[in-house]
Formats: sequence, structure tokens, C-alpha cells
Amino acid sequence: MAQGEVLKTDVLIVGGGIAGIRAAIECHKNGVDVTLMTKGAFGKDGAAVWMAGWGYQVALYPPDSIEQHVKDAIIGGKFLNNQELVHEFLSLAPETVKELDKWGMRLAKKEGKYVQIRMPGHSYPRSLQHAKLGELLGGEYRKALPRQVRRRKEIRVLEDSTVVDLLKVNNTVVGAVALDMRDGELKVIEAKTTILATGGFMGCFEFTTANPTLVGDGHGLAYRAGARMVDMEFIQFMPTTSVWPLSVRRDLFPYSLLNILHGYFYNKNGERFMERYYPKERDFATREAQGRAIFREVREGRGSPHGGAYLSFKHLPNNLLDEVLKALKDNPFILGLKQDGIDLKEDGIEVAPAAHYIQGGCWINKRCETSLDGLYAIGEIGSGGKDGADRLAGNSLPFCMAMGIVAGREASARARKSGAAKVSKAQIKEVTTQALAPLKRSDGVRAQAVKQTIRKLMSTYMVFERTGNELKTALKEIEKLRAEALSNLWVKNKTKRLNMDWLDAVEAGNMVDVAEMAMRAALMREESRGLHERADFPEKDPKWLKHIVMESKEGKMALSTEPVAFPYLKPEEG
Amino acid sequence: MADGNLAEVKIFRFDPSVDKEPRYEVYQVPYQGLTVVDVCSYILREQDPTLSFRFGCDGAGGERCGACPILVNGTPALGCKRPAEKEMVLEPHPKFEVLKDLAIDFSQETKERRKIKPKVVITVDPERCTGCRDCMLICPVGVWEVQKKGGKATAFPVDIESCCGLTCKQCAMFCRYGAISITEKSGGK
Repeated sequence: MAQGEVLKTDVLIVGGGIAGIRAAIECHKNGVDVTLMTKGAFGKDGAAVWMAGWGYQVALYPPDSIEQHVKDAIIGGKFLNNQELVHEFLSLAPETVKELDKWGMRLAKKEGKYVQIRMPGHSYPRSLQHAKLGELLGGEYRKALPRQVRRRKEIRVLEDSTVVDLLKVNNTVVGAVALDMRDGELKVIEAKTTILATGGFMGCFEFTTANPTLVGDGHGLAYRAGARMVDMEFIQFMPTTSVWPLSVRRDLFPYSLLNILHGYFYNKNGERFMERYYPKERDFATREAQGRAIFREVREGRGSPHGGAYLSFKHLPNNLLDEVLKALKDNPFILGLKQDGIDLKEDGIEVAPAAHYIQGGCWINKRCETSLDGLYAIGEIGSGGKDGADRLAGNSLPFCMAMGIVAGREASARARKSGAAKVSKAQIKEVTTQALAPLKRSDGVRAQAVKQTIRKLMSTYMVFERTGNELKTALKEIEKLRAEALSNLWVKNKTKRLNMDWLDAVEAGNMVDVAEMAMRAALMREESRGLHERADFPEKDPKWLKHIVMESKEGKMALSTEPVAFPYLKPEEG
Repeated sequence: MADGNLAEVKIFRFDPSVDKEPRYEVYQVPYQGLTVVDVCSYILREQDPTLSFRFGCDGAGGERCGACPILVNGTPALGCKRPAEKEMVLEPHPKFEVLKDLAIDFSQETKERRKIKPKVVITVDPERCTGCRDCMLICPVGVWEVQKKGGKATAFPVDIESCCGLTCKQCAMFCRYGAISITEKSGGK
């Protein structure tokens, strides 16, 4: 696309993860003109393509049923789920497995049936397995899904592009202005419908199991455009992710090791601190309990050098460990330890909680429509409250696939009915001027400093044991960032092509919006439920069995609540 | 020469839309406990905002998205999994056209390739290999090809020069028949 040119498309999909890719395929099936935009290189970037590891939960064979799967999800979500959405999307899950199989995912089968294992919170074995036993499924998505897009030559893929703002006429989204990193130009895209598939905002934390570029761009865009957002206070952490040594940083494997071997946790004083918090269960407390305890140890200055706790297996017999290490000799985690000179029989691995999944996003209905006409949201950002207060392991991927199908179908149908999108010249000018402002300044605040501050605030106050006072302090910092830094952002790099400094400035704006939404919701919810834990309100409170919804009204963040309906499972039954 | 805690990093700089010739710039940066991608991020943040490079998953979850192949001291590696060294020359992965500096365009292969000496040894067990193409699809830099020889389809590492070696190892990891093994040549890094 050359400079000044306007790209016209039927469906614009922002984000190239599993949900975005599946939606693009569905739009292609429906014969509409579809544009898939990714922030980095296609197939290597995107929301979830590579990080999806263990679970793909689907109810396939009796006695398991869709109904039971829905019930499990609701119980796991502490009854805060939007049950209608859960049922709608999980019903499509079996269909998505057939597709994945057809597209070349190597799934384990035995006697014509898929091999499934049971994971915590699920009533039946439901999680599909890699054909090579014990291998993660992540690479399979990376292999199978991008190829389906490349095969369909009509799908227009815009790589290295990031939306800076959505374009709107009245209450209808009619396209977007995007920064094309490849030539450093702002491009206008007129789209009859737009699907957000930008993933979560785990990148707003210092330590995450996800791609650190996932900073909640879609959340920021949708909020600024006036969409209603929901459940922003619920953030999932992977409690035992390795922080050190370097070659295995961010690796999730310690969690598997912990399941196989039951390690002991130590702080820097050599104290087995789990005993202090959980005298009965000690090191075998739940995942959340382990994460909470590590978080507190680090916060109170007893953490390991890289901000975690030591996980040790030294108490186990050497010959037992030898057997395990032999079985895992090709495992990249074990190889990495070896490379960095860490001997599992002697040394500890440093582990810490890492941001893993975001439950909050746009308020949607079962057609994946947001509160704005022509705007759809799927995957993590298409929250709708479907995950409730906690997400069951392995449920996000079937959701991504199913929502991709639904949104692709609905957006195509709408696009076919609507005339050409008409964007407002005045709004384009406003958005472009704003996006260019940091580039025009010759001094000011660097975006990287804003990003670092947000990550620090989120990692300190938005993890476990949140308190009202701390959240208020953090929100003051956010307000200060908004007033002093965002209006004075400075892109020091004035070159055009692949200007990463400029991209940081775009992301910084989204991160400030995201952090404020998450913190305001966390402050408002005066109870502890699922992933949201308030030290000053440690109990679950029935009167908080409702969603916190927020939207931008006259430049202010307006918060309200939305009741939960129980068409499939009522709280007293669970 | 840099002081004891700083590395001297020489980086390939080239913007084909503006520059006639590539050039190298030298930076002095902390390196201990950092990866190559960390070092690039540090330079972008603290020293030179005009630097461009690619990164993706940053090793998240223990997998590799394959967005950051970089030539480190003449050897291809995934930058997020390659520990930084005291003296480093960073150049773009030679298989693909340069978009800018270290960032490559995965859709454009270079016509004339710079010769590099492979530091890895890749072996395929022909008995185990079924020619299923998994390795070919997962490799971020196109090392593999499946060819029919003697009536049987088998995977061949046809472009071993591009291989990111032990920093990646995705082919060996995803081969469900355990047919692939990658080792590094002794003496090489």
C-alpha cells in the first residue's frame, strides 16, 4: 500500500493469533474481501500461536458432554461466567477439532479415538494430546494454522502493522488508521467490519509467559473508541515459571517438573517458606498458593537474585533423579539447564509467578459483537465475561477457534449487507495528528520509560494480595503518567522504516489505558473471587456476583456493574 | 576497549530505502545475564533509538516463535535464546533480505548468499523419517526439504548454513518419530 492510498476491505482483522487466523479463514470461506493485520512477521507473531502448550479441552465422547464441560467452566469461573457465551462457543469445540486434524495437527489417537487427558477442574479427560507423547501442542498450531492462510491467496496479510486508532462514524466502527512499520507511514483502512483479535495484555507485566509485545493494543483501541469493557480485574498468573538460568527464562516446564517430582521451595535465606504460609500442605499447596507465597517472599526482600524463589529437588535420591533426567534428555528445559551449568541434583531453579492469561476484554454477545456496531472481538480480548473469575486450564484455545468461526461468519454477513464504509476526514486528521505528535517533538518523555513504569506498577500492585490503598497509590501514578507523560511523549528516532521507538509510543498509550482499567476494576471489586484477590477483602461476597463494566464517557472512565444470568447452572447447584 | 562489565557490540546498520552501503556501529553495553535480544532492547532504549531488530515470544513458555534469527559472531542463532558475549558482532540472518539493520523480511530470500561455515551437525535417521514434513513446516529459516529418493520421501537438511542450532532445535523437538538430531561441532560455539 503506497502512502496516502486508502485500503478498502470488507473485513479487517487485527491480530494474527489463533483466533485471528481462524476468523480470516471463515471470512475467506464466505467470499468476502479480508485483511489480516499482524504487529510483527506473520506466523511468528500474534496472540497465541506459539505459547499454547498443554490444553485443548473438548468434550467428545460420552459420558462427557458439552453440558458437563459448560458446567465445569462455570464452577471454575466461580459463577461469574457469561453462561450463554460459554455454551455457545464450547458447543462448537468438537467441530474445531476435526478442522485442526484436517489441517495437519498431529493429535494423539488410539483405536480411532482422540487420546485425552484430564486436567484440574475438568470432570472428564478432555485435553487433546500431541502425537508425540509429552510434547506441547504449541508448535502444532504454529505449523498448521499460518499455512492455511498462506494457501488462501486471497487473504490479504499486512505484516509489521499496528492500528493506532479505530475510525468511527456515530456508533459504527468503519475502519482504522494503522502504522505500517515497513515504510513508517500512517495508512487509512476503510473496513465494513472490524474484528479485534489482539490477545491479552500480559506484556503490561515485567514477567510473563507470553509474548512481551502483547500489551493490550486492542483493549486500548476498543476503550478509546467507546466500547464497553468487562472483567478487567481478572488476570491469571503461572506461579512457577522459571526466571533463571538465562537459557530457560520464561519456561513453563518447572510446573511439569513440580507435578512429577514435588520440589521444595526456598527463599534466599535458605528457609522453606511454604511452611510459614501453609503449615499443613507446605510445598504441595495449590498452584495459586505457591505463587502467592513466592510473590510475598520476593516483595518482602527474601527473593532470589532474579526475583523468584529457589525450586529444589536435592532432597530426592540421586538415582531417582538420574532416571528422570535420562527420560527427559531431549527436553529443551533440561538441555538449557545443562548448558548454563545448573545441575538439578544439586542446584535450585529460580521460579516466580508470570502473567499468563487475561480474562478481561470487550463486552460481547454470542455473535461476538461488541457494544459498537461493526466491531467484533474474539479470543482473549473478546471476553464478554466468558471465563468468569477464573479460567479452566486449556479452555482458551477452543474458545479462540470457535469465536473465530462465529465472528468470521457474522462479520462477513454484515459486510455483505452494508455499503462501502465512509470514514470521516476530520477524524482521520485528528488521529494522524495525534499519532505524529511524538515524532514532531524534539524533547519530552521517552515511551520506554512509560512502559517500564506501567510494568513496574502492574507487577507490584496487580498480582496477588491487592489492597485498596495500594491500588489508589498506583492509580495516582497512572493519572500522573496520563497527564504529564502521554501528552508529552517523545519519539527520538526520526527515521521512517521499522521505527521501533515510534511503535513503543503507540504501545505506551494503550498500556496506560489498560493499566487504569485493570486497577479501577480491582479497586471497585471489594471481595476476593477467583483470580482477583484483595488482602483487605479476603472473602468471597455474594453481592459481588456481578461483572464490572467500564467505558469511556466524555473522556472519563465510567464504571458500572452488570448482573450475571444463570441459564445453565445456578450457584446453589454448584 | 570496554570496561570489565560492558560488552563491545558491533552491529550491522543498513536501511535499504535510504543508505547506499551498510555500515557497522559499535556500542558498549551491559551483557552479563542478558540475551542478544535483551542487548538490542537495551541499545534501543538507552543509546540508539534508530536501531531496528525483530523479536517475538522471547522464549516464552519454553517454545520458539522463530522471529529473531540473527547472525552472532558469524553463526546464526535465535537472539532470544543466545546469551550475549563480551565481544559480539551482530548481523542480519543472511538467508533473507534486510528490511532494516537486523530486521529481516521473511518473505524475501536473498539471491546471493554470504557463505558461512555451518557449526551444527544435523542427522536424519532414514529408517525413522516418514517424510511427514513437520520439520520443514516448523523451521523458522527453511533448513529442510522433503525429497523422494529411492521411492521413499525423506527429510533432508538442504540449507544447514541457515540453521540456528541449539538455540532453536524445533525440528528435533517436533519430530514425533525422533528421527532428527542436532549437535554442535566441537570447538565451535
